Amino acid sequence: MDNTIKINLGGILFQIEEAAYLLLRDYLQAIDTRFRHVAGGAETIEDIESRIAEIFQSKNGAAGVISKENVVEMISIIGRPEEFDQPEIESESARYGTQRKKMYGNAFYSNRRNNRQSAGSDLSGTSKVGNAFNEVFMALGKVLNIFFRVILIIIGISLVLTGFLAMLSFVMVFLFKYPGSFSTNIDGVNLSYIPDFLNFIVPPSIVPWITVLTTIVVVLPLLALIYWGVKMIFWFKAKDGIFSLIALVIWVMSIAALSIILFNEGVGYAETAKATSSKILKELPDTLYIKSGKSISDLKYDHEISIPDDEYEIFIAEESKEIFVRTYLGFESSEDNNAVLEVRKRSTGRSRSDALLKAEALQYNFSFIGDTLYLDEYFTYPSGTKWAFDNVGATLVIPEGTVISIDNNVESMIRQHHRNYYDMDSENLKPKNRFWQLTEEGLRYCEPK
Amino acid sequence: MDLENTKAQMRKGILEYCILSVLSRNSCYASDIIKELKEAKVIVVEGTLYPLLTRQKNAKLLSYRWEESQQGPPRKYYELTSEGKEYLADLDNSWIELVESVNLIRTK
Repeated sequence: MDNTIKINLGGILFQIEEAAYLLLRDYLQAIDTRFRHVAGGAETIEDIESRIAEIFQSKNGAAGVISKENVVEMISIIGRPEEFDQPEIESESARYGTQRKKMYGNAFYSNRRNNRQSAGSDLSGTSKVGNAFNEVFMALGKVLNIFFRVILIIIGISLVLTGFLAMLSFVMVFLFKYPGSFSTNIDGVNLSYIPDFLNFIVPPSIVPWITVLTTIVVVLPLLALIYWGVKMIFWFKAKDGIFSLIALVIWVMSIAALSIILFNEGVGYAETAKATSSKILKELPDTLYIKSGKSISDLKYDHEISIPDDEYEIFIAEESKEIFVRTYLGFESSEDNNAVLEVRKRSTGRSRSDALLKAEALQYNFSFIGDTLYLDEYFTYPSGTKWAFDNVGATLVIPEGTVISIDNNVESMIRQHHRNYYDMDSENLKPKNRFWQLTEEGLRYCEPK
Repeated sequence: MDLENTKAQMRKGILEYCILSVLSRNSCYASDIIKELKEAKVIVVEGTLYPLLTRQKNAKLLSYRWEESQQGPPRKYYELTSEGKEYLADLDNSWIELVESVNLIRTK
């Protein structure tokens, strides 16, 4: 009689001849190979092993020795894996299933190795514990799977909402001009008119290109965001590789084209130049009245774009194709007794000389008649000239002690931080007749002379 | 043309239906199912049955309970779930239609 080995099969201990063991081992390995990569394969292997144990027990009883003939007979009953003429086995390879198979396989072969070394010990309990562990890991796997899905769904919903809201904002702001068209007084929101303003920055033939390319650059990632979100929520597979690739190529090409256009246009703003002119106000009266010449309140414009932090306001008249930009006024004390109005015009261009020409061309008007200085609240452009980050500022240089009277409109020409400094916004200090005197500390309220 | 192969292919088509039909009468242990299927000559080797049972169980057509056995390891007793019963009813109808269709063709 051959040497015998003790093995654990289906939780039952058997004594088996060595030759029979080798045959059984090959058979079980063939079954393992057949079902290793099949969904539920571990369970199938476990069922088959239980059935083998049952067959062995029915033939010999637990006390008998399993012979090679017994193994051959068992194989004829169960059949060889290649004889399992079942319908096509699903090739589903769920990760959870794979983990489980690995655990099972390790447990089984580990048990068999242990049994060879510790013959005679009762290992059926070990097998049951192993099964219990498998069940625990299965449950844990299910819990982790559910947790993972919930996290994915949450992320998916976030992506969809983000993408949708961003897209909605984009459409509402730039297509429907909301809320700018409903409330032009809200700071910053009238950026919705930037597409209209494009006509005053770049040649009209480029505007549609910039609009379309910008839309693609912004909208495509948002659509992708929504799509990924939906995929995460519903966890579906789609043959979307080619579409994603096409979309990516279109997006990258749009960015490249937009960059080239903007760079080409941006070169036109490379240099900055300033043109300053001074007007001496002869025969300065005891009280200098400053009133607005052309005021913004009288302007007929369609849109207003403001950059709140920079106190930069642009007014667009669509029909006449004109733009107007607010001018600001400052005060300085003169070192002599002259009163001078300095007007600084600043612009940008491809070169300094180009910028200087543009700056000089900016149209800003003022006049000094009698005791009154009339200042326009805005400057404008010669026909056909594009906007180029232009700025016009006026500074009134007057001797200290000069009393000035400023009307409402002119007061709005003074920058906010100057108004704060001069306490102009303080209702308690604001004089009814708006009389101010230039002192060492700046403008201060005074009684009219 | 390999007759055995054709017969095997035909068996494949009806095997899952037969398993559900056997279980529709009583909850069964795998060997009981094998016995019936072997008697009906639907399967040749027992190994065919186990992957099908696992698959049907995973599809929630079957469930099982453990019962201790005096002759060997604990046994799984399978039974139809409500989904399994509905599925079997559909298969019953399909089978009747299929038989009628085949008979129609054969007797024409």
